[in-house]
Amino acid sequence: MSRLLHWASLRFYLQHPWQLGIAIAGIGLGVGVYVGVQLANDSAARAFDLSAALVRGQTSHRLLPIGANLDETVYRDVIIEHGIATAAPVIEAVVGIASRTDLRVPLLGIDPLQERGIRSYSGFAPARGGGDLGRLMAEPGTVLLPRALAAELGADPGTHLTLRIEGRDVDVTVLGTIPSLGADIAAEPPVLADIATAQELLGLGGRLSRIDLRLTEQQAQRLAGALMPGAILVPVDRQGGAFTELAAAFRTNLTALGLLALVVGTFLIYGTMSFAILQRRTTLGVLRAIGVSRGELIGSVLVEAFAVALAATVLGLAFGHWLAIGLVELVLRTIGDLYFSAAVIAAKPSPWIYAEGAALGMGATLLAAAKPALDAARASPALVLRRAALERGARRGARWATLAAIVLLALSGLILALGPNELYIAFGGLFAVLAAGALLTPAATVLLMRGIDRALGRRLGLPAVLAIRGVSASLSRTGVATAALAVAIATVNGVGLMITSFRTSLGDWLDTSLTADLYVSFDSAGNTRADPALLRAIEGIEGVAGLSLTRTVLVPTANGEIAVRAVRPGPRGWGLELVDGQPEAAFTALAEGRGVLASERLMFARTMKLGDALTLPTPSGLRQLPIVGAFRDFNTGNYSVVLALERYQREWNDFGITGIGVDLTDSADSAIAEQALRDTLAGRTAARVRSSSGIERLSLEVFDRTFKITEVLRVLAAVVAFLGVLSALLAIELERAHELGVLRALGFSPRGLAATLLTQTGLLGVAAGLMAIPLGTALAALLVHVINRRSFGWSMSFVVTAEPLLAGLALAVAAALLAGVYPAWRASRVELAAALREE
Amino acid sequence: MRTALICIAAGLLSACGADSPEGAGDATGASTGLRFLRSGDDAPDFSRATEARDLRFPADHGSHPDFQTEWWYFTGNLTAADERLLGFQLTFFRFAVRPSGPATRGSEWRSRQVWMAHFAVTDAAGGRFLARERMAREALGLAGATGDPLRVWVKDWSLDERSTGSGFGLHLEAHDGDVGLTLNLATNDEPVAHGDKGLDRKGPEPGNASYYYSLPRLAASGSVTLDDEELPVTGSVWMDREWGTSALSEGTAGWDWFALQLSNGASLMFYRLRQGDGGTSAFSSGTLMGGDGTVRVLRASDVEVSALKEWVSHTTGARYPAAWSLRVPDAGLSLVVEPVLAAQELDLSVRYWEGAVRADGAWQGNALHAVGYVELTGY
Repeated sequence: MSRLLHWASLRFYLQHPWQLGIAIAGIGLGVGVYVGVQLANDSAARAFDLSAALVRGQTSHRLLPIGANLDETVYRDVIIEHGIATAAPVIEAVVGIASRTDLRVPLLGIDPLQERGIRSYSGFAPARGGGDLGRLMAEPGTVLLPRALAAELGADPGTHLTLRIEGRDVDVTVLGTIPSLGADIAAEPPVLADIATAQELLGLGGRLSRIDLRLTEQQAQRLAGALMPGAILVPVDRQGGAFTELAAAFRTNLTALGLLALVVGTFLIYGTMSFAILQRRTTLGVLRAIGVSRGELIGSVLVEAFAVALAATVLGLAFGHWLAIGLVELVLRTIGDLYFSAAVIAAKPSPWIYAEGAALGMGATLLAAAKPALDAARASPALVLRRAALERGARRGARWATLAAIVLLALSGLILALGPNELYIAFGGLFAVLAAGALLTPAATVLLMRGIDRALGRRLGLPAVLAIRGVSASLSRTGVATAALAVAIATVNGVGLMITSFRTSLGDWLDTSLTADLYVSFDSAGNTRADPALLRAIEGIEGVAGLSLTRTVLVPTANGEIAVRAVRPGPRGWGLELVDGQPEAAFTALAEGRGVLASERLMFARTMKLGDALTLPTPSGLRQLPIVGAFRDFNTGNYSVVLALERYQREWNDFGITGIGVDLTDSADSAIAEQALRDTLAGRTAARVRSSSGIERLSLEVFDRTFKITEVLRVLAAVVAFLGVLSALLAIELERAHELGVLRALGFSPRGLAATLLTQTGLLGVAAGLMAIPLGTALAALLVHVINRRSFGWSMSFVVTAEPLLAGLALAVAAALLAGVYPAWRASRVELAAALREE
Repeated sequence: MRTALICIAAGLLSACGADSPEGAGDATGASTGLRFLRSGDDAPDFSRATEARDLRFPADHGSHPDFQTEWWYFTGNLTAADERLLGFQLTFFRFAVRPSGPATRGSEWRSRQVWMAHFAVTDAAGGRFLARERMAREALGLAGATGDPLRVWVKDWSLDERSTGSGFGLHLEAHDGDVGLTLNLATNDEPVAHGDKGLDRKGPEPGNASYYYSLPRLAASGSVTLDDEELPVTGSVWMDREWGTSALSEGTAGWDWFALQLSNGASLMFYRLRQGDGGTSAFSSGTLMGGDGTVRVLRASDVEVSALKEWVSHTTGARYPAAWSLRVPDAGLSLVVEPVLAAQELDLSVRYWEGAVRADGAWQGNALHAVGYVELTGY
C-alpha cells in the first residue's frame, strides 16, 4: 500500500512540476537567507574577535596615561622596582605619506624584545623579507611596512619613503615588510618602528602612549596599589567597554535580521507544503475511503515532505553559502566603518551554521507538512472531499487566530514595558508583534473585503464582486500567503521608516554639532600646543568670525575608557543638543567648569542619571565632576563627556589641542577662507582641514553604507514573500479550474476571467499592503525607540513619512499582481470541456 | 664554548620570529640566526679576538662592549639544608646588534646592546626543571654592566661584586614567580685562562676566537626559592666568562660542553665541536685544572667522548645524548657522566639543553666521582 501512496505523491509532482519547483525554491530561499546571514555574521564576528585578539595578544592590563602621554621612566619602574618582566612599551600615532596625500596609516613603535609572551606583534617576523631586526633597533629612521602597503607604494626593502609627520616630511628607510596578521584573517598591520625610532620621528622623546602588560592577579593588585605619577592601570577587558558593547549589539541586530528572514521563509515553507497537500485532499480522501489508514497517510505525506525538504535544503545551503560571500563584505565594511579604521577581512565561519540551516529547513518543512497531513487524516473521508468544510475550518481558524493575536500583543506590550532592559527581550517583543500581525491578517482581510463589497460591490459589477468575495472564500489558501506578504512588507516598511528616522536625526545632529564652518584636526599623539601666534594668524584670515578649541583625550575610568572632550566654544556655542537636563543651567555649569555633559550613550549604557558624579583620574588625583546634562551623540566610538577647556587645562596641566573649529562670517567665501586656512597652516604644523559640509557628506555616506546590508535583507524578504504569493495563487488557480470552467460556460470571456483573477490577486496585495502599514509603523517604532536605544544608546526622533509606506503598499500590490499574471494567463486558456469533465 | 653566539642571535630573532604566521619554525629561525651572525661579520668595526694577551682583573670581569658577544655564566650543584640536591644555571648574555656608530639623542631607547638572561633550577628529587628568561636592551637602566665594582643586570636579575679584602666575591639575584635564587659566591683562587693565555680559537679563520676564562670553584651559600618556599643552600659554583666576535665555522653543527668538578680537587672543562657529519672538529679543546693549580690544555685528540644513551624531548621532539663516556687516556682519566634528570631542556627564545650531571670513574687507578654541568646545542 505504501508504495502505491508514494507513487501517488510522485505522480502529483510530475503532473505539477511548478508546484514542486516553487516548494523547493521557497524552502531553499528560506534556508539560504538564514544560512547566508548567519554565515556572514559569524564570519564577521570571528574576524572581529581575531583582530582584537591579535592586536591585544595576551595583554591582561594596560598602563594608560592620565592626560596626554606616559613618562617613560614609569616603564623602568614597572620593570625594575616592581619586578614585572612582561611589559611592552607602545607608541601609537597616525602619519601621512608624502607621495600619497590621501593615505593615512597607523604608526606603531614597539620594543621587539618585549613582545614575546604579550602580543602577537611577534608575528611581525623579519623571517621572510622582514629585514634585519638589529638594524630596526639600532639604526634611526628605519621602519617595516605592511606588505600590502609596500606593494601599493612600490616600496621595496632598502628604498626610502617620505612620511608626513606633524607637517614635516621625514625620510625613512624601509627595512622590510610585515605579513598580514593571523593565519586565516588579514587585518592590516600598522607601519612598525622601533620605540626609539618612533620617539624620534614623532618628537616624543621621553614619552610613551601606553604600556601593555601581562599580569597575574597578585601582580595587578600590587601594581594598582603602587603610586605611579600620571598613570593608571586598567584591565583590557574593561578598557574597550563602548567598543565591544557596540559590536555585540550590531551582531545581535544582524542575527535578528537573519531570524526575520527565517520567519518569512518558514511562512513560505508552511504555505507551500500546505497547498501541496490541500490540493490533493480529493486524492487523499479517496485513499482514506478505499481503506488507507490514517497512520499510513500521515507517513506517506511526511516521506514526501522529507524528500522535498532534502532537495530544497541542499539547494538552500548552496544558495546561503553563495549569499554569504557577498554579505560578509557588507557586514565587514559596516564593522570597519563603525569601529575600525583598519580593514578586516573575513574569517572562516563555523561549519555548524550549515547544520543549523539544514535542521531548520528539514524541521520547518516536516512541521509545515504535519498539520495538513494530520488534518487530512483526521477528517472523515466524506468530509475531506468537500471543500466547503475546509473553508469553514479556515474561517473558524481565523477567529482563533485573532484571539491569539490579541493575547500576543498584550503579552509583548507587557514584556516590553516591564521586562528587563535587555536586547533579546526587545527582539522577543518585536517578533511577537510581527506574529500577531500575521495572525490578524486573515480576519482583517475578510473584514476589508466585506467593506469593499458593501461600499463598492454594486457599482463594480459581477466580475469584481466575484473577485472580492473570492478573496474571502479562499481564505484557507490565501490567508497564509497574505499574512506572509503582510509580514514581509511590514518588515520593509518598518526598516524603511527606521532608516528615514535615523537619517533625519543624524542630519539634524550633524547640523547642530558642526557649528563651525571649517575644522582643523591635528595628527599625532596630541602634543600640538595651542600656539597663540597660530591662533592669531587664523583669526586674522579674512572672513573668520571666531574660533573654538578642542582637546580630546581618552581617560580610563571605572566605567571604561571615556573620551573627554575639553572644549572652548566659539561664537556659535557648544554645538550640543541636550536630551536631558535644563539647558540654561547645564550650559552655565559647563562653561564655568562646575560639571560635565555626558553623551546619552554613556548615560544609557552605565545607567547614570543627572547629578551623578563622574570620577575622572587627573595627574593631581581623582576628580569628581557632576553630570549636569546629557547630549545627543551618534558617534560610534568611545563614550564621551564634554568639559570646559579651562577646567581641563587646570586639572590635567595639559595645554595641547586636537582640533580647531573656525567660524566664518555670513559674507565670507568659504572656499577662499579654506584655502587661506590651508596656507596659514602649511609648514607650521600637521593638520587636516575639512569643511563642515564635507564632514556631513562623509558621515551620511558612511551611514548609507552601513544600512546597505539591511536593504539587501529587505529585498530578500520581499522575494520570499513574492514566491509565497505566487505559489498560493497557482494553487488556487489549479483548484478552481472547475469553477473557472463554469464561469466560462456562463459566458465569461477569457479576458474577463483573467481580469477577475488579477483583480482578486491585486486585492490580496492591497489587503497585505494595508495591513503592513500599521504593522510596519509599529515595527519602526519598536526599532527606533526600543531596539536602537538598547543596542546603541542612540535616541532619535521618530519620523513617519508617507513615502516609504506608500512604496510598501505599491510593492505589495505589484508583487501580488506579478504573481497573478501567470495563473491568470493560464486560467484564461482553460479548456471548457476538460474543466467541466472533472465533475 | 657556550651557547651565546647562536643563542643571542637566534634568541633575538625567535623573540620576534618564531611565532611567524608563516610558521617556518626552526629552519627559518636557524637561517635567520645565521644571517644575523653574518651581519656581524659584515661589520668589520667590531673588535676581534686575534691575539693572546694577558687577562687583567678586575677590568676583564667587566663588559667588553666593542666585541659582538659576551657572557657571564654561572652553573652549580647546591645542597639544601634537607639534603635535597638542587642544580642551577644563571647566565647573562650581551649581544651588540651594531658596532658603535653615531649616537642619536632623540630617544633614550636607542641602543646597540641587547641583553638576555637565562635562569634554570633543577630539582632532581622532585623531577622538576624550571627555566625562565629575561630580555632587554641597554637603555633606561633596563639592562647593562658596570665596571669596578662589577654589576651586570637584565631587568630585575643581577650579579653584583661583593669582594672582601682577601678574595673575590659576587652576589647573584634572580626571581621569577615561584622560583628564585639568592646566592653569595667567594673565592681566593686566580681565574684560569683557557687556550693560549685566554685566547680560545673556534675555527681556522683568524678572529674566529674568543677570550675565555673560568673560576671553576666558587664557594656558594644562599637560598633557592621553589614553590614560594625558601630553601637555604650551600655548594660550589662554576663561573665562565667569554667574549668575542665570531661565528661557527662552516660545517659545524653544534657542541657538547662539559664542566666537571672532580672529587680529588681537580676540574675539567672540555667542549667538543660537532661537525654536520657527526665528526669532531679539530678545534675542539679543553683544560684540565689540577687541585694544586697546574693547568693542562686539552686538544681534540686528547679526549674521547661517546654518547651512551639518548633522550627525546616531549616538548620539542629534539633528540639529545643522555649519558657519556669521557676519557683522557694519557692522563689516565675515565668517567661515565649522567644527567641528574634527563629533562633539562631550555625551550626559551633559544632552545638548548643545559643540565646538572653526576659522574663516576677513575684517575690513574683511583676511583672518584664528580658533579658539574653539560651543555648541548645544535640538536
